[in-house]
Amino acid sequence: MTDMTDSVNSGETRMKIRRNRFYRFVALGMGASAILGIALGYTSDMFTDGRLPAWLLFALLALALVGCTWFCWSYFHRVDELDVMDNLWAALISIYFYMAAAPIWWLLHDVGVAPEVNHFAVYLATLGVNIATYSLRKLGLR
Amino acid sequence: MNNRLKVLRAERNWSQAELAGRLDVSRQAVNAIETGKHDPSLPLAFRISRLFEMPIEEIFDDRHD
Repeated sequence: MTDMTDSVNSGETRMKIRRNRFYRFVALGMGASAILGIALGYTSDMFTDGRLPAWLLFALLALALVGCTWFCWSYFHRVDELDVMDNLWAALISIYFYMAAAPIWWLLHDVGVAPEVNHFAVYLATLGVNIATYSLRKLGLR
Repeated sequence: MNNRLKVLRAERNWSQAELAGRLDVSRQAVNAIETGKHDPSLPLAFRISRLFEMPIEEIFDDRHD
């Protein structure tokens, strides 16, 4: 996306402009996620109390899903190939972690040495592995 | 993969940020390519080749020492 302004700027200026645009995009996405998260928490409480029809909760969840999909699509069109690689490696390692952790825990429970599998704990651990892998690559450990 | 990106950049007195801006990538990407931690995609290799007005094989060398 090179416009007339970009073509007359130096490489450093173009990089700064693009970086600032990207940070604004990420900040906007995080702000929107926070607002949607608060709205979902509030409406789910209203739904539990019977003050909100189910369709409205489903509509908000659909909106969150569509928004998240658009954000991810747009994010990967804004970052460069190195960031895509960092994300792919983080996703690969975390899915392998999940594929190993869940059945191992289930097996240990089956033989009576571990409590029943806590799927939310496995989800959080997978998310942790994903974030740790991505962060380590961002710190230059490639 | 070995490459001459750092030398070519130094010959033009460009910073990594300057080169990154000209290639439309992040400064981290330039650093990763220069240090051999990332091999650029074919489209990026062509952009680098056009920027320095040199054939790709004069910038990148896939032979191991």
